[in-house]
Amino acid sequence: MTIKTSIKNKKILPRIVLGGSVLLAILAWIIGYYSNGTDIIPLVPDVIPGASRVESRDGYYVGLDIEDNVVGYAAVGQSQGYAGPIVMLVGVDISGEITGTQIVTQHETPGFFRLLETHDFVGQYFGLQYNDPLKLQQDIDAVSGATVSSEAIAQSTRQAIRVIARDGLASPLAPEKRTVKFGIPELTLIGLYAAGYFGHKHRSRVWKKRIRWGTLLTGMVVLGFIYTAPFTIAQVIALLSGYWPDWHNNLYWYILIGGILFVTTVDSKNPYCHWFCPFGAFQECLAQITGAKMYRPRGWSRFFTWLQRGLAFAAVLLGLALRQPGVAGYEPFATLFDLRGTSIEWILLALVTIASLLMYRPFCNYLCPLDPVYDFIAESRRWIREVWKKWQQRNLKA
Amino acid sequence: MAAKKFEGIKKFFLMGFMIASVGLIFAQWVDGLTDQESESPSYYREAVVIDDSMYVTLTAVARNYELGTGTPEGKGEHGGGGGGGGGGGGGEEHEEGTPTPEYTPTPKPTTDWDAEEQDQ
Repeated sequence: MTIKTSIKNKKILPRIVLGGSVLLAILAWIIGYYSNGTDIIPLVPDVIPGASRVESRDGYYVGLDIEDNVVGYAAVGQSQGYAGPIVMLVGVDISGEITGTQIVTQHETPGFFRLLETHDFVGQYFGLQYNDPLKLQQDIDAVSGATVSSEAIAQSTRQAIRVIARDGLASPLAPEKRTVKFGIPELTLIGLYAAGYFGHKHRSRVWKKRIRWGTLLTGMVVLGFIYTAPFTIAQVIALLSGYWPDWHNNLYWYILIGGILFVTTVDSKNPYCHWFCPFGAFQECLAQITGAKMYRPRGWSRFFTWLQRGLAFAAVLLGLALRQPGVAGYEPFATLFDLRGTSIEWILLALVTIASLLMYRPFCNYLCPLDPVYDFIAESRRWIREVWKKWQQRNLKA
Repeated sequence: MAAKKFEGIKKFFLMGFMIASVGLIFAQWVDGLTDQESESPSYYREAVVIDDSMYVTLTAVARNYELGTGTPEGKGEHGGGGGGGGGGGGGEEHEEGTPTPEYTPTPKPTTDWDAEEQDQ
């Protein structure tokens, strides 16, 4: 009886926390949804020089001068960036020349966004014509290290321009062809999932270890240093916020997140962290140099587990309530793999690097917000299964 | 005894690592949020209705639309269809047809907001 009660109590606490956290997350989501955004009209004169009055038409804006002559048109376009939609306001004068561009909303990681500002990315559009290609690698230069954001801005701008061309200038542009982006990172990711699956199922320990090191190093080099595309909490928040990117350009995002969610939900196994997380691999390589072992002092384990969960949950709440997934993430992944970051991110990376020489995967075991995400999915899965079984038993008895 | 002391040092370093890391994470959040407020105001409700038909409508055909130069034409000065024949060798013709610019007073702004715009 006492054992049964104890088991029940052990289950009850995590489930109370689980239920409570879901409710809080929903609340944060609602707050985020209703607290973001005001009026766009005050911004329009900034992109249409000479406009003293703005008229809002169906899906676009008309800039008028003092004598009520049309001086230009403006419209908004939206596309998915790294951590959410980027909304652009674009202004065009009556001759079809782009007179202004403004980023109205963005959710990017501050480091990436700063890069765009430093390179004056949106400034490239001034003076171009509405019927120019306005594409990266053609007449617009991408900012190295922020290519996803650059592509999103380019796409949003083209979208706004198309609205202006069709509704304002009455000169619609030819439909844009969208191609599916599928290349080395996507192929590597599929390969890593497959290798991880076979490695996990392999009976021989030696082979399991070999395969695991193969996937870890591939993940670190390809997904980390070459493409800087690891799994982050910002992606989880973006997913929860409903910021699902266009699959044509972001197939990688869907394979990564979809694969992790699928395997964790169906098989209750974490296919990523142990097998090909680039940052985990980096820490393991450092641990190999010094022979660092796992360290978790007795009696403190529970406290550290809940601290890690608390940090992850705070990140999720922050990201949902403010609709800023990029700001909520705190992993120093981009700092290591892209060698870009704020001074705080560099200090955190230095701290984790030194700690990795002394203990096994300190970031993963104590700080990473993704581990609690797997715990959450695993616990939810267990709960649903139990409820399902109970329901089936009741039905059988009836 | 030595092992116990070593364990104490390890715990001390672990606590130091955790306190420093958590402090840095909070600092990162504060830095990110203050940065966002100053540089990228969120003015826009994310309910933009993107017309997807712009991508899939294959029947739409781009037509050459003659665009103006952006320079307003003088009323009656050029006669009917003025700039149409311009192009290549219009240099002399242009000189003849160009009216002498006259001073036109700038209309007074009607609101304070307009006044600010013009001051800039």
